[in-house]
Amino acid sequence: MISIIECLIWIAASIGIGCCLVELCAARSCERLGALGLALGFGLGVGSSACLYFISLLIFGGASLAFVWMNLALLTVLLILRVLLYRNGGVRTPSPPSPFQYRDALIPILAITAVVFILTVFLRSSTFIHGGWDAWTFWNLRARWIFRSGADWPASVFSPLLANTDYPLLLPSTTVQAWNLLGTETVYVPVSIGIAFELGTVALLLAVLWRFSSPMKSILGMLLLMATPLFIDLGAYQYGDVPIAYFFLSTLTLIGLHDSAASDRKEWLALAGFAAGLCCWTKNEGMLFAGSVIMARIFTARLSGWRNLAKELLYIVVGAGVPVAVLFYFRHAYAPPSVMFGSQTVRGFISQIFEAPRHAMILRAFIRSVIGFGGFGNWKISPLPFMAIYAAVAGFNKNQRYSRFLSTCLVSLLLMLAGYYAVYLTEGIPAAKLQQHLDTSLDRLMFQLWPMFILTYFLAVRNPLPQENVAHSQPSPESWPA
Amino acid sequence: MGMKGKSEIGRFIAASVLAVVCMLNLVSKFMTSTGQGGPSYIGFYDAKFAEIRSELTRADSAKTVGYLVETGFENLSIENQGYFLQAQYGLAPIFLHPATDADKFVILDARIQPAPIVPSRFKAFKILGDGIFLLKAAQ
Repeated sequence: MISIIECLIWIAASIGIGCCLVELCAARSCERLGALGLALGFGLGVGSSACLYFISLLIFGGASLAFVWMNLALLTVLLILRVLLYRNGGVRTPSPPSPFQYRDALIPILAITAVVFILTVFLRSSTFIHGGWDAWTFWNLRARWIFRSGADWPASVFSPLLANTDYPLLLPSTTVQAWNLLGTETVYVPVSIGIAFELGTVALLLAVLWRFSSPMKSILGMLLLMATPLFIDLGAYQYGDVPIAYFFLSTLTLIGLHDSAASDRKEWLALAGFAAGLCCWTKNEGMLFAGSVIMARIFTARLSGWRNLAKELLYIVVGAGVPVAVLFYFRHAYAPPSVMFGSQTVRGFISQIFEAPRHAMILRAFIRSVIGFGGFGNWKISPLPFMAIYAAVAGFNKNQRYSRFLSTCLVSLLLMLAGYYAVYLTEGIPAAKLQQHLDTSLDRLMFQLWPMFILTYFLAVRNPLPQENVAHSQPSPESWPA
Repeated sequence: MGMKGKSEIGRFIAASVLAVVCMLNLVSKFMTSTGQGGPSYIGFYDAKFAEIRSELTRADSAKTVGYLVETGFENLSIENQGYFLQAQYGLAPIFLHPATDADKFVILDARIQPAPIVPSRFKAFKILGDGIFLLKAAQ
């Protein structure tokens, strides 16, 4: 019983840290975020806690509960900061009005859909109690290894006898924290983490679209994500793809909060940098994403000026500092060379770039993943053609209030696609095994980009309801009634 | 009705069709998720390997524990790699060596195809059932 209470305190402290970080930025830029703040705070808190746990592991060893005190200490510091800096609560800009005229009709439909989704998630998760292949061969295996090894963890966890020990530790360390507190190695912890990130991603997408587009588009966006069978499966399999998709989305959301803020403050970008750093601490694809976001800010800099860009990049880099430092130490001190690039040579790298059959194989796989039967989402009926029809009928928003945010999302998305292509092209896997690698990984990589694609799509297209377009094209937050 | 009115209706219909497609996908996933069994064998064999783990004393676990296959991990079929990794998942933090030359303890997994040959130096058997055996080197 006591261990369950300790575990609940740890969960509350972790999410509290994330919410406090968001709240500090929101108070600084005088905004109220509500549900969006909570949806962001959940992941940032889990990520902060995972970073703290790794530090605690290095200092106090595997069995110590010092990480709980570290979480509580950080939460206390953030709360004190919040009180000291913004004693009056800050003069908050009211949230933009939501002319949601069809609330009575849509809320019940939304509620029923959410119930069906949650039931499906629980049903699916209960049939994969140990997770899918990657869960029990990497993520949960690593968690078991850390938990069972005690003080000997560095010697055994990174042994060459185990596979993919270069993978970052956000997921395993979150699992181990809960096991340490509960004092038992229950499979329900990774199951709960999988479900929490699924629900968190849906909530975040709903909240971010509600804020930056319109209620109708946010509901459609949420429906699109919830109705993606692969999303439900990946959560049940306890893979890292859902958490990383969540962190991709949260990074872009925080950039959106910066780009939409009335003031020129850059704290949101520091937090976006932190979220991008957590992407790196979740899966190796996170490093590609962090680079893509920085490039996207550079490519879209003409919309805000170069001097401003330098400041922006500084904030992003400073924000990413802690998780990237943790990752750097992990890589430097423990992790072996990357499985995909560790054995690659310069000659092999260059020669693969010019291998036409390799290009053809990758291109075929990309096309099949997007427009093949069922698509990457394993849909019964792919929604992609219907999204194209909707975009053709509705058209695109010409008067974008958040044009730089939209450009950042779009450029990041394209750079990620190009990056995934380049990784398949140049990784140290021979052509004979490449097809198998594409078959087992490409759909999951495409899914990682799916929530940010839905965000980008609904930021770009016009609303289904013309009345909502009026609110969407309002000139600036200052004009909203108090 | 003007062009603008038609476009608004078209937009609403296109959005509704998109929503219906999503609902169909979700309901279809829900229907296929009910009563569908997952890979319960992982939990089942996990319990078997936990039994093996409890058989090995702390001192034993420092000795070589092998997983009886005729080749190294890289050359195993995907299916056989899966069996080996299940054993490794269950036995953590005891390292498993995918080889026949382990000198102390060897796990014989009857699911491995082609079936491995048990070297004569392994005499003692502990039958854990469902195709899993723990072999001990003869004294």
